[in-house]
Amino acid sequence: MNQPKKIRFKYRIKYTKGPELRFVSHLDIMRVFQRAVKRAKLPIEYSHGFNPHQIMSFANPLSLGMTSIGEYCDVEFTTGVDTKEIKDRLNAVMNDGIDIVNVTKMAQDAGNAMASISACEYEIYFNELMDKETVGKYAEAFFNQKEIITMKKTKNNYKETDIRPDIFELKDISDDECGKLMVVLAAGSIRSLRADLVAENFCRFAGVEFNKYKVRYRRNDMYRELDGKLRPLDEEVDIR
Amino acid sequence: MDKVFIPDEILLQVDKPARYTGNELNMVKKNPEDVDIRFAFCFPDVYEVGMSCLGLQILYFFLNRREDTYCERAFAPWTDMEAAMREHNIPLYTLETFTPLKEFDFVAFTLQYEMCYTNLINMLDMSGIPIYAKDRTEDDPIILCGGSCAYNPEPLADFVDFFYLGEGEVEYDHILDEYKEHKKNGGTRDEFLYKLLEIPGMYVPKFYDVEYNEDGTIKSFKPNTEKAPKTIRKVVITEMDKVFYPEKMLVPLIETVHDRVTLELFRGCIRGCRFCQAGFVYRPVREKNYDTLIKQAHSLIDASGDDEISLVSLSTSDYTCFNDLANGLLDDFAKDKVNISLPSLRIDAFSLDLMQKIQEVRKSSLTFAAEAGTQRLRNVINKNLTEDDILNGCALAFSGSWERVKLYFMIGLPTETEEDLIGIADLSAKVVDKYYEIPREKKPRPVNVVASSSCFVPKPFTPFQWDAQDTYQEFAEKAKIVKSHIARKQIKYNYHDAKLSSLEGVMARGDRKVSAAIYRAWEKGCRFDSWTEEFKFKEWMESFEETGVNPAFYANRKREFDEILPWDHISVGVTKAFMINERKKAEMAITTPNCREECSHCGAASFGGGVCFESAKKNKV
Repeated sequence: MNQPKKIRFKYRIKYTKGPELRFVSHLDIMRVFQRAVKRAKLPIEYSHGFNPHQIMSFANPLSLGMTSIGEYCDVEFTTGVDTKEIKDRLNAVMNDGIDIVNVTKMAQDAGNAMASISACEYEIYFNELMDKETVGKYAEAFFNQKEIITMKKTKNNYKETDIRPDIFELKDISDDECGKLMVVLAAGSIRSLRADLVAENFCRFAGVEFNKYKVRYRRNDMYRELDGKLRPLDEEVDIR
Repeated sequence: MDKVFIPDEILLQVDKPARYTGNELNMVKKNPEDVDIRFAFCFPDVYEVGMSCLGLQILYFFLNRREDTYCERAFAPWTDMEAAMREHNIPLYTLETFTPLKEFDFVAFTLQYEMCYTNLINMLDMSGIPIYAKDRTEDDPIILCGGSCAYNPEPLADFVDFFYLGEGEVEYDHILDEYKEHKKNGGTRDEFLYKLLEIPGMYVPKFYDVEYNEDGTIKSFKPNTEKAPKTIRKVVITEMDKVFYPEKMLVPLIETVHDRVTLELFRGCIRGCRFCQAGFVYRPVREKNYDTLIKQAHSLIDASGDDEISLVSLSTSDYTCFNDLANGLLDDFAKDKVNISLPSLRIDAFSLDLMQKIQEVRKSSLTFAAEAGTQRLRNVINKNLTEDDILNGCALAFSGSWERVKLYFMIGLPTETEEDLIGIADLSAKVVDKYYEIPREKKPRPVNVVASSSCFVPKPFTPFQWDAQDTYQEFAEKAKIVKSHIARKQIKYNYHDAKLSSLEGVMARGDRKVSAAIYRAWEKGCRFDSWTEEFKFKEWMESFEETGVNPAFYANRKREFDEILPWDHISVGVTKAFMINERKKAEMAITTPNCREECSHCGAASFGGGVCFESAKKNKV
């Protein structure tokens, strides 16, 4: 006879990472969340191993220096808690620079954020490197290339790679402040592309010298594929 | 001046940029426009070390509880960040508001160990503040120092405007009130420093003159103004349950040395180990009561979300209600998966039982601070720990399935002979033997004993303050002797770098003349001297040579009891007569009972509180 399956109380937390915490690494952000959950006195579930740890997992790590308005963290509680209450209690104790924007109850069989992810959306700010006219002039042509061959870092060395298939979307969103691009890039264990590599190639295409310290990035959201479409990680996660 | 701006170009290239950006949990935010006094609390070492300092946490919140004061923090930038800041002409700034240190009213340094002195100079220089006190003008902040190394302030006396001797909670309000008044009246620096002479515990070097004998010893040390007290006596809190303690602590965003909240059980130590400066300068022992501690523990955990609370004191097991407290905290916190960490525990049946409870699976190694290899030498240093204590403790631990033991020793202690050195190897071997006494089936893994020896550094305000330190060559020879007697493969022997200890010996007992060598060493690029990879021994030796400072005079010379010591104008409450008596007893290997067994009339009772009056209190009840 089958044992009745244990009901798990899993929640997906969507949060932002502001400029105040730009230089705090992914690993340290995880520790920030572990502490915040305890300050909020939420009923976090612990692993049952020799060295119990909070059951908490994060989606794609954000590079040092980037901000984000669409980060995700999955947690498991020992009991059900109202999603608005989770959000309010976390926001009440959270470090400056992190804002919980949404909490969704996850379906029992929903995959974790890390495993589900297939794309990330970024905004690239070229600041003094490129104004809106330059970006406007090259954006469409860059995206319309059949292939974009560049040196991409693999485990041990660099390899010539075509990154064009991993750019799902690219739009000029420049304003008077500076030249800006919105890009949707492959992410996940099989294919993934870093936003700075796109920025570098775009600069080269536009004949502008790339300077990695002048360009800034903001992650807008992370997506999974549902019925052939890219959907934010917290959409329909309560259903499937 | 505007806020300091650190370009991404710098932050993306230096190691651990979050050291330099602040914004930690519980960081105090105030509008600098709204306060009268701006106070920069500086730790002359890297961020992760400084943020683990309990004194910083206490004083940060203590000073910030005043509405008229904004206390902010600065740490020594690591060498990569220093290079970048110098290249871009960025001055040293505080993490709270990115304000250059030069803009502050006070720039305060805490001195936790001697080998940070070049960092202090470097931080002043990076702030554009004149390094020598005499060169500062009305536009410069007032530079002050506190902390345990301030008890011999002389090596830094030329660089610092005043030293605060004692516990910060006692006189800071007084100082800041005076300063506010002084600032309102448009007074000068000198007027303020003069005013400080009225406040207990304040040492203002410029109001004292030193004369030297031809042999370099001190001929006289005198105030040059009537108002300056001949002796400056440290200030201490007597009511530990009433004194301010922060309800929350700064929680760093990156991992630090001690990544946990700390609960201070008591100040001082009853033991009186003769090598230990802390054991004398923090007398008398003053405890917090059980209820105060449980309450503070809860508020600290609630405000941090930390999963570990560390009970700190010089000798945690000596807390009078230790059993109750440990069990009380375990009861309260086990369900929330909060660990209790207990540094400096004496190993006995109770503490082992407790350790079993708190670290059910992850067993760290057990540590015994034996300090010396023979009972005779342990008596000399008044280390109240016998071979039986150690071996019985190990036997208990081994049957409780610990198999890693660490033994700490010192070499170069006064009266040490070859027998004492061989004793280190022998005692380590006996620990291994103890392991093989227990039945075979109970010891699945091989035993692992790590014996470490550090080099003895005689410190001011200890009975050994008159003793000669070994030279680094002698230390190396002695370590070799120990090593040659270690035969068992289960024992690993480590010894510390003697060169660093010999330099520490100079700083610890230095006088005002040593400052020239410190300055020169800084000019030659010495920084972070306590970090092995940064320590530049050759540059230090050149600096001594070039400034005519003979390091052996300070480190390796035996003083007579009647010599005027550079720190004689400072009183920690313990009398010199007591120290001399202790030194004489040491020579005869006679021990002194601890403060709870019997009062030895050291002088600390004059503060009017703590352990000195415990029995009186009990008698009353």
